[in-house]
Amino acid sequence: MLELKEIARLVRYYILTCTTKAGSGHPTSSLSATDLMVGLMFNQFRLGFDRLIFSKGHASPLFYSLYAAAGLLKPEELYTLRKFGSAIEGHPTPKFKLAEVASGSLGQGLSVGLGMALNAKYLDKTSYLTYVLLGDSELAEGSNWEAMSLAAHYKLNNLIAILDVNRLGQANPTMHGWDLAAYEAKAQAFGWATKIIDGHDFNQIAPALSLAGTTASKPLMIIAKTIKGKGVSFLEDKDGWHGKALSEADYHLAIKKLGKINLGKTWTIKSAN
Amino acid sequence: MDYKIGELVPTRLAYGQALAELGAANKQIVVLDAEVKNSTYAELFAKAFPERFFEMFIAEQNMIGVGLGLSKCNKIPFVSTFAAFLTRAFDQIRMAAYSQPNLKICGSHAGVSIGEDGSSQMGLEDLAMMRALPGSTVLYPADAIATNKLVKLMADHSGLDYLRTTRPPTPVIYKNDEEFIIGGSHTLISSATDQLTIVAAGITLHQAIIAAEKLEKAQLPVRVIDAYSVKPLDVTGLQAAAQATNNLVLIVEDHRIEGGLGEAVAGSLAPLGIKIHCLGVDKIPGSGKADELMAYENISANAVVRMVKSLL
Repeated sequence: MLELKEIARLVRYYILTCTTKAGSGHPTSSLSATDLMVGLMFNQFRLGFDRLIFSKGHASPLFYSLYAAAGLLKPEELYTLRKFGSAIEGHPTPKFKLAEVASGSLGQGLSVGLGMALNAKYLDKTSYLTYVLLGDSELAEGSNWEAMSLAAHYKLNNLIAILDVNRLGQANPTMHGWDLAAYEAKAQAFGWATKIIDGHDFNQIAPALSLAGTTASKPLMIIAKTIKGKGVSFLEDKDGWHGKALSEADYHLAIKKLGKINLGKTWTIKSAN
Repeated sequence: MDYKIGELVPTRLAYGQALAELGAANKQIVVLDAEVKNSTYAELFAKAFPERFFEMFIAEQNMIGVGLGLSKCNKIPFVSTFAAFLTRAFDQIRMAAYSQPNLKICGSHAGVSIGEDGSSQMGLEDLAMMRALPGSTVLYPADAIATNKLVKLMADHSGLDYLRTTRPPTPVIYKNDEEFIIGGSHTLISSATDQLTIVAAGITLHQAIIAAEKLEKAQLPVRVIDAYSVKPLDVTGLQAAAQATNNLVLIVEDHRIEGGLGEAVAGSLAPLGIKIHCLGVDKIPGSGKADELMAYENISANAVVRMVKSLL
């Protein structure tokens, strides 16, 4: 657990650094999902076996920073974020080899994950799990609910949606805000198993993720209450910070607030055995 | 599948027959359909290989995403619905284009030739949509043989490939051993004295053939080319035909004028100094018989004859 917290600090450092160097990007949308994704990738995910789709593609700084923390992306490559010719694009595309599909046009990742889960359960008959990171704002896209219906119909208990409920969209708060019960009622009505957690508490993240693949015949949605900008007090839960990088001055303040960062260290995302 | 010359077979039926035929040899093929499998004829594959067919119900956006996901699992997904309804999934298709996909999409019920069901069911913008995407391949067969061959080409080709099929039956015009290639075309009618080249694909190719026969009797010989590969287009072949026929080309298509075959040909041949004229859908169609609607939109054989006479 201490280790996950240390990894999360490093990932947050990379998120802030790469977006400030780029001069643009979505650091706050990345920070809200950092603990969820660190908990997934460094404690459960099987690299080269399980599948991960960032439906909220604007959290790409987080996506890349996870792999930087794992030593699979060099910091100097990470810092080409959003630069002309870089594979590390503003929103992920398969130019970056660990991105399975392009994402960032919202409401599409769950469908792609559904295809992968369908393949595992009915075609290849293999046990990989497919995880899809969803933003709360993007649940306004109807296509998500098409996927929700169909995933339940095909009993895809190998499909896990992780909903990052940070309450804030681009221009204003979401319809449900932090009403996690509203999301739970909808997901359950669509035939999904649900688990509500605090998305910044590793003591809740790990047990929720361990439900993956165990829900008898239902897909699983982990509904996580999170704080947009988590980890940097002057960004936390503040409207008006969507899609904005920090200035140099703010960046240095923010890094101090993260606490001790062990920059030289990389951590292993385990492979399937 | 064997078909006889002159036999009336809808290309949508030939699509289903081709998939059912291919499915036995190629286990990677997986078929999805948005609850119209008895119209697109994806049901022929579903009956033959139920374990590799997945009903997506009436949710086209999700269906395209699922297809993309399957393509990332070393499957070859063939995804079908009415061409008209694919337009609501254009964003998903667009994102697939940026995802290094191997996705096969079939849009059926293309054009006003679907007839009585009316404008809401007519795919009239699908070629424009699919042509606009980077790396896409756009194929539009005119008969069952072409459909069979093009479906097989799609299965063997890696990329984002689109096949446009037609509702009403069309006569088989090709022999079973006719060869088709991505980027190819076929010249169906030609003589040394041709005065103009008609380029068509799908249902209007048959109108062009009828028109050419009428024009021949009126001492106005014209060349007729089947541009079954809308993208990539057989620019070399079309250019040669145009230059042999007074640098004059007429395209006739059952698609909106904007973004269809006509503009594809114009975009390639106009810079070479070739004069291009297009007949396509440019009014709001309604219900009626296919022939009535094609006449109304000036894409019938008679409309072609009138246009050619006005040009020569």
